[in-house]
Amino acid sequence: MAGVVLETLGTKKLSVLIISLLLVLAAFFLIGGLVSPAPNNVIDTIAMNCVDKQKLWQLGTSKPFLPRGKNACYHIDSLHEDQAKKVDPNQIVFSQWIPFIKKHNQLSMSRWFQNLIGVVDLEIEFTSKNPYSEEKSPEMLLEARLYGRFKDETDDDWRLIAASQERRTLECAIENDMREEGQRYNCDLLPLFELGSVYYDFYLINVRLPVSEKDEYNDNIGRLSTFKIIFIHQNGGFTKVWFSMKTVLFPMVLAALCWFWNRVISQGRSTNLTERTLFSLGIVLSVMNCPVEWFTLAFNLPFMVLLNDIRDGAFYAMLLSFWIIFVGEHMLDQIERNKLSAYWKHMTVVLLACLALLIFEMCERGRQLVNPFFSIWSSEVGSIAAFTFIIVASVAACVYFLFLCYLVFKVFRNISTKRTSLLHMSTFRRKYYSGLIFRFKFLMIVTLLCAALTVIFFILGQVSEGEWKWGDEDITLEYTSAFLTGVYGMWNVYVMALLALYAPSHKHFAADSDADIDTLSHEEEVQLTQVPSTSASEGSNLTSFMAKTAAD
Amino acid sequence: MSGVSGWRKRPRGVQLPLYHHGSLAVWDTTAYSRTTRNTNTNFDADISSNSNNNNNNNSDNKDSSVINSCGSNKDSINSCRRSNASSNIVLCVVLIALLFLLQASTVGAIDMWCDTFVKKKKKKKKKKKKKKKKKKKKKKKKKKKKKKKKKKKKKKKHGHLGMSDVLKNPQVFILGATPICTQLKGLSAGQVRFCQKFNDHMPSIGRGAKMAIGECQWQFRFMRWNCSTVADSSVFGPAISIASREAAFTHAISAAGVVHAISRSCREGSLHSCHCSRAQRPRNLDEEWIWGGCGDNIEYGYRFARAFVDVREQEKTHPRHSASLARMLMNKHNNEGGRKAVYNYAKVACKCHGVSGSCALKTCWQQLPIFREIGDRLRDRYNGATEVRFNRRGTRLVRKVRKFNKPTREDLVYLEASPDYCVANATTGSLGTKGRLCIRNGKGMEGCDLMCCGRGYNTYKQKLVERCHCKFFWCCYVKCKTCERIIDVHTCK
Repeated sequence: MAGVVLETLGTKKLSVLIISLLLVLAAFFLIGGLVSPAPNNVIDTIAMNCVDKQKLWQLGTSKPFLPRGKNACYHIDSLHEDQAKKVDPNQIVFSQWIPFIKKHNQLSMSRWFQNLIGVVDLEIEFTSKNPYSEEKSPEMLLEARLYGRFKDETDDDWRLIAASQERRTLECAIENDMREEGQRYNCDLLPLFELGSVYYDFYLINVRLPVSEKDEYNDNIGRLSTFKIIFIHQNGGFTKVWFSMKTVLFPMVLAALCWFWNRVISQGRSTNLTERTLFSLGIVLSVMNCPVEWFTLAFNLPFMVLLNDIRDGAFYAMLLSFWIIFVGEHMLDQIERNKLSAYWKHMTVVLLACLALLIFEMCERGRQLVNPFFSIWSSEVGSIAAFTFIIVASVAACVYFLFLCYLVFKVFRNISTKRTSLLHMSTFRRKYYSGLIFRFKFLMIVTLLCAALTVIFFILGQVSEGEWKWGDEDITLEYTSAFLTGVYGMWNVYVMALLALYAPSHKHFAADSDADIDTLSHEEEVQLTQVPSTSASEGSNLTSFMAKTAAD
Repeated sequence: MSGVSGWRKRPRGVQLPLYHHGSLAVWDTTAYSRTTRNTNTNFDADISSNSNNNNNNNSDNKDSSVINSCGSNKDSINSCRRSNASSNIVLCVVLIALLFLLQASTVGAIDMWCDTFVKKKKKKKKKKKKKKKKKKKKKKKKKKKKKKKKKKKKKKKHGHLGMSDVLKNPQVFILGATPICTQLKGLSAGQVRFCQKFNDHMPSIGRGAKMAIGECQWQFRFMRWNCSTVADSSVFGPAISIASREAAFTHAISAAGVVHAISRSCREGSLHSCHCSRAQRPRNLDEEWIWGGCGDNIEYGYRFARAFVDVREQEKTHPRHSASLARMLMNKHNNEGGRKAVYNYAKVACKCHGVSGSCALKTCWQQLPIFREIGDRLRDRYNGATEVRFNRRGTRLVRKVRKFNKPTREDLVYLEASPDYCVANATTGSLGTKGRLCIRNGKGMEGCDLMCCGRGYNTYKQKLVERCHCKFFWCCYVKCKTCERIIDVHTCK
């Protein structure tokens, strides 16, 4: 093997390449920031307090209660006792229909929205007569129904998407100096539902908070004044930008991958572990890039969110494994690795973290395919399990980083010890070693840069959102979108650069060396070229070099 | 916009203040209680009116309110009837009041509002404002005398039956809005146009006005001026015709009420024109739903309230140094202060939802502040209101005492000192504190010493009928027993 493209590339070419990659990166960031709107949109609604006069719901019919339109339900404005005196709380159905009307047109949801999340925000008023029980957070029972229908259908055609009885714990607090009539508690948001696809044009949500003298639920929650339902969906514009990015990147990465593999094959030798890992990284990235989301525009595919999460997870798992293997292969010591089993410890950690997250994901998102109202956090056992998975995953991630840091440290130690002996080596060998070191350092720098950028952007996003100024200023740059597209683009560019720069080079070191060394290098190369052994295990060229050095 | 020309000639709404002397019901801390008394007829009027307003069904309404506010005590029946009658009037008056409070405007304001709302181009706005200023200057001279005459005429008019119907039955508005808008008393010409164009907004405005009055009365329940409303179209009475702190507060809280109520209605989906307010959509505006969706209803509420409320103030031109100009500037400033008290204090709530529910993606939205909070804030501003006077040119208001801080857009300003409200005085609009409830050993303004202005107080024994041992649910359904106890009540001499 005659090194990789990175080593044989001239400084000029390399700098041009790096600059153009940086430009591409900036372009991704700007696409997100300037072209795309914010990734998500909020429809902040207050539910109508419909009154189920005939107690239809309690009798078991699934007739929807519409908040507006011709068949609007009978509703009351306020839930206060003085106004709603003759109404039983069991009769009240909170209802909202999204999207809203604008300029006398009933807007409709779009399949570009991809996903829909519903959150309940309760406004609990402080009254000394009917206090919220602060000692023990009260448990709520929500009877919820989600309906959907298409634009060209009538009110009779509302289709029941899901119906469920869900338990949620209501956590509220109030400061001591605020304890007077009319003030409100600060309550946590209650997750209501998550839909993985926005297939229908209209969505209708009906929620009831049943009470009974016997049971505990919905007792001691205080005086409810407003039932707010907040809907969050992905923005259509963002989806378009996202899809186009994926559609463009997919063939590009695929082409880079094919070129890389061709290069490797054309070397006429068996592949080594680094190359194979890099190849699989490319494959996993292509799988992630593959724009299968286009199908959601035509079909109802609620599992798409789950699938995307799994694809993302697979990519990051692969990336982590790649780093470990790459660092291990550049260890510059005499131990023979070049096979996956040498990294079983590190891989186990990565797999453990990913498995924990996958199980958690399947429990939450997978269960939501059947019941969109499901939330793993709502039950005690579920939340403990969820926490366990997350803790396992984070512990594994910590262990992974310790491993990685240790390996990198070892490499640097080896490099510094090698550096002294480097001068005494023959030109060819020196070149080879310095090539290895350069390769490693280059990857280290690029990787650190990418990781640091991701972290910095992420933190910036979190901070700026806290201080978000609404209204007066026109914000032209959509930071969150820029972050998402930027990071996505960055890791694509990263993998593509690796595929291009770490592909085996055609050029030989000998080409630019002196004539008298030429024979030596040629001789050495013959020795160094891998001869497949009978056991089919490949000794790394690095190891053979080490042996050679030792012999010298 | 055809047929606009005639509107300016139409007599404007009745703007007479009345003063109603009353206080809120005494709420017992342990259970619902309502004091029943023979002496004070006005007692409870405000509360029962509040409870009545929202119901669509009139007959039910009356029954329930009688039971509600009067309980089973026979002594109280008289006062209840009175309170019902007066409550109806108060109902009618509420909306007008609001409209009245927010005085005066130009006809083109709606269009301007619409344009600016969609395009949100600041430069254009500035140009238009400049043009208006020029026009105003030209017109100012002639109108001074006419105005005074008009005002006198207005005071005599009392016609708001149409209004009361509307408040009780908001459906009327939605079905056949246009004729009603022109019959509404208390609307200025510009506001009538708003009413016609945005007729579905009117119930919300009514709701906002009611909320504002309720909050005002809560904030001032222990003060000599207790924000009592009167069975008249002016609602707050002559106290408002003086450019005092109290007038400043009522303007601000009413404007805040409109912002709050409109924003809320947007969220309920009951308004047909809630725009998508975040202006910067990529390229095509029609696609904005896909691109950004519609949110941020507080901005809509703020903009609508600014247009609707300030339209009154812009309808007329005033000469320099005139009292009417000063009042107009003061009203506009205080209206803005009220709106800002809602708009600038919206809270932000966020929800995490990323890969596996992580916080990689965080979506945030604005939440309306509670109206009580807004009331508290405005009450603070009321306490720290700045006295202002004309500048030398007589075109702008500047603070009277240079030492004090310059009033910001959120602060309240006033022109005249308030009367002490101790003794009834028809010209100042003070009803006096005679007959007001007070607290015997109270240290603050609610204490009998201060409240009664040193005149002393009477003490009665009073039988209190209250609901007790109640079983509450989160709403509506309350099971109670009735308890009776006797308490001492103090009223000012």
